Amino acid sequence: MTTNLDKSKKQKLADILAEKGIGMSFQYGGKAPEEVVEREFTDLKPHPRVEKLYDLYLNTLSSTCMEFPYWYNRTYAEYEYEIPVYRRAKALSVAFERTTPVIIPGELLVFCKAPFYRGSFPMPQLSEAFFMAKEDELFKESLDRGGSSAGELSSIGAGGGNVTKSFGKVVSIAGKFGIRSEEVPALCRIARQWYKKSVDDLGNRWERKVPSYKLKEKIMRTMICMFDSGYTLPQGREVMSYYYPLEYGFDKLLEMCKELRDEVAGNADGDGIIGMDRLYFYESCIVLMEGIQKWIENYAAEALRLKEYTDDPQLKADYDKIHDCCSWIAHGQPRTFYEAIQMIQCMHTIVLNEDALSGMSPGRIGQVLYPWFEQDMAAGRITEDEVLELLELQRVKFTCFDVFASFGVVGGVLSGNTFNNLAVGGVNRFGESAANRLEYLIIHAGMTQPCPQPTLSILWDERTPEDFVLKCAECTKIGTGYPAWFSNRMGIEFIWNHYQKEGMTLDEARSYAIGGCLETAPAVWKTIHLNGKEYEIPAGASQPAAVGVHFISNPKILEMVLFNGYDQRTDIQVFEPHNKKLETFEELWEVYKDYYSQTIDTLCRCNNIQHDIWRKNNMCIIQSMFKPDCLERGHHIGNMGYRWNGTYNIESCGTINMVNAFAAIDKLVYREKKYTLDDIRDAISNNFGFYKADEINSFSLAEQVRKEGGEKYDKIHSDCLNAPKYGNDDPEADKFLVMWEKWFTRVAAPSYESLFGLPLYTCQNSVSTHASQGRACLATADGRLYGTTFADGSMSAYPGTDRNGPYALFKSATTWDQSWSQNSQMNMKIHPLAIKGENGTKHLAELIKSYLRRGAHHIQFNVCDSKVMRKAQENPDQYRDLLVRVAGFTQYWVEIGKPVQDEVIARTEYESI
Amino acid sequence: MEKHSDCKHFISVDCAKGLCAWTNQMVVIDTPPCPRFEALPKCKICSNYHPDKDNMGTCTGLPDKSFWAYDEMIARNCPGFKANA
Repeated sequence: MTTNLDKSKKQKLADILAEKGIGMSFQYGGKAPEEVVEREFTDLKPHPRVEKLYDLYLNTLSSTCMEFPYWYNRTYAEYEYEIPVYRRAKALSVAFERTTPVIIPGELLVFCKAPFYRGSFPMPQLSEAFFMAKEDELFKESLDRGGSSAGELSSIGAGGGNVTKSFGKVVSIAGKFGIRSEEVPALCRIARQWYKKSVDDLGNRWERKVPSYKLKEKIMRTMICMFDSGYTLPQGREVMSYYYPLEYGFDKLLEMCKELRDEVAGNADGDGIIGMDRLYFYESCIVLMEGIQKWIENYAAEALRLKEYTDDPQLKADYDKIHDCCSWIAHGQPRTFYEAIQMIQCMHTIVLNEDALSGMSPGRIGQVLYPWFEQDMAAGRITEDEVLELLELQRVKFTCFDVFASFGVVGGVLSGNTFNNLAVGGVNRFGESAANRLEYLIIHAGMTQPCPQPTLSILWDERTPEDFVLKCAECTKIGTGYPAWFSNRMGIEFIWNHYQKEGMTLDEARSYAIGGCLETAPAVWKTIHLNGKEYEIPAGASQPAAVGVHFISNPKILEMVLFNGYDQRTDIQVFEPHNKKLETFEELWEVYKDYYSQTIDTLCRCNNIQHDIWRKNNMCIIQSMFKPDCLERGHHIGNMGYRWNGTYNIESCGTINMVNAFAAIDKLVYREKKYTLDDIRDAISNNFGFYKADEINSFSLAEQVRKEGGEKYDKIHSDCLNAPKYGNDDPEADKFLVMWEKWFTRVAAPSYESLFGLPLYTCQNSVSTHASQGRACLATADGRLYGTTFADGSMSAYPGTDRNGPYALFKSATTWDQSWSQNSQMNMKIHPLAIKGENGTKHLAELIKSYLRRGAHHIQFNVCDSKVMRKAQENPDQYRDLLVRVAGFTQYWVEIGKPVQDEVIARTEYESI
Repeated sequence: MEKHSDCKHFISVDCAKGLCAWTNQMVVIDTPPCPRFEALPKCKICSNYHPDKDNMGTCTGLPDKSFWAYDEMIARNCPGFKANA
């Protein structure tokens, strides 16, 4: 007798295919042992004080409050009639000056975004719509909350530090942030102040003037595109410049700004449009820097205050150290490694408080900090062990950073991550390896203190020393997903190709680093003077390297082509019907390009307006003070003060599902004529006889459940699944990747222009959108089912479809010229046994090099037994600190959504390489 | 009723808890403070603050003369703060 359980089990796709003798394997190169295999190097530990602080972090809730927004808004109102840039500078300055400092006992590196260990705050000046929409709900909840939170803390373990639901006097916002119920009325009041005035609202008012605006609305509602960048995360995905305060200190910078202000006051100097703006910019820098100095001094004073509470000599010494350091760096150039790394922490926090931004990357700080490291080591002022401790502390401190944004952005795109990318390796101006001893320690700190931030990237070059490569490969084996491996050659080629039109030289191209997940971002070389010695360091010098059109769902556009521009999920006619019969693949491809071009054109124009409103009303002043060449030019980012301004891009999602769907249609409909296009449409509309992923709450293909009577689609589904697939060195699939990339990177993107009058480029990393956009997409002709997660990134194979091993996958991925794109993204999952021991490390390094040498841009790994992830999904509370690599970032397993979890589990696991 | 986050010896960790500076032990915000309690400067104990409803009120202690404020705002670095007598 067959039980119901047996029946439902048989209805799962993997079992159905197995019955038919069609293997659907998610392992390659052998079979993993039954027992769970642990990763290597798990016995490494951080320094005791770091371990304690990290434990605290793991038990800390993501929290928000109204202190910074209150002072910002009050001052902004007070200066209502001032020139916009000065008004904003004054508001920021007062907010910094009055924010309460928080120092946790045991910390040596200090500064917090908000008065919490893990804090952030809302910025309704960018977008208040989210709070307005929730106002009644939040307000009512805040007034109703009378209980105590004492007994309920333990119930919110699932989800890590996310406040997934309200409890006691804590109200949950966006399923992530906790705010005290007493402060909710203040949040609602400030949000109301920005109604019809925020960048979001004003941008929307003006983007409606774009003739095709109605198309944009439909594109967004149907999730063909994921989100606007102009008011959600207008900055980030770029590399920091720490240069000016590290070289001059704030007092000298103030002096310089005052001299420059006096020089330009009243002079246009031949620029009748924005020449006069320089006066306002320099004055804004002055007032803002004064506020920042007070903020730093408040931390010095707080350290002294806390010292009075303790008799512990170590804690007293810590507080003295913090006090002396903060007192000094509020004014002067850092003198020691400790002061320099503290200055970096300070600057990074300041920048994060100016705007909602993710992906604000430290860049190559091992090279930035090297002057202080070298001199302190030579003078015996510090030991490598002390440096390691500071680097571990920096990891915890960076992991404490949160970005406050709406649920759609935090959950749907970011998975709660902040993407602070720290790069090592690369070459110097002269093309020599730039890897240094401090970077070796940075990698080691990533092993002794594994946590999401800063995520690490190695800019691998043929000249990178082999022992450094092996150290990085060892780090990869700990299973945190970092470092991500980048081809330095491809990075430089992309940067130089794209920025030559702005005057970039090859030497300058070599200073680049990675901003955010995988966003190749340009920089410049600057000279540090320290105790009579000169050092050249890289400094980020560009606009946000990933703003613009984000993210276009490639498979969804194909769906639009097949269904005459109509979206079945939402019942919206998105595009004008093409009314073509699509009798040849060429005709289908022409319509695809037409719909895609309409999408880019509309989104680009609307986004340009949003960003234009942002630069006029919410311009960035802090980063403008720090990044070359704003201080020299007297112009902020909005007036193109940065050295490199052509950074706007088009981000795509679901590339490989689109490629595989093209391959299936080409074979089954156009070449073999086994099915008509209507047969394919019918199968897609009926999801090949299966339930939707949302209906069964599972998002990987193998777990999908067939409906009763769905058998009639088995044949066509099997044929679609067995059609050529990318990742197997099969030209019948790979030719569609080449076709796509040639058009996307060389024809489509460069023909559109950003608000700065410069051409766009392509960016091909999916972040977490492959889950959200997969949920909005019907089944695809490659056999993928409705609502299941797309293949991640742009070069990863769709789970279970790469059947010929890693080298076949690499061949498929490098059939096109990757240097024409800002990035590409390849994720692989390797079982720990496949690379075990010293030989395993060497094999891993050779595998990586073989891929990068073929002309690849990027590769990264999850070294993890899939069984661990399955267990973690069942028992999240027991895996609070389990880290996995998602698309371009490392995140706690418990802080990512189920659709992404399912996709990571389903990725093909390589049992040998 | 006073709570731990109203005390100047409280080091804030998150929206639900913090550390006592005297003991370095974790304390939950919404629990009664100990006898060593000393008030942290907040708007709600400032003589320039005039409470209204919904935990909000008006501040008259800064150069802009009058602006809305809220009870729980920490005022340690506010130049207009004057503790209630």
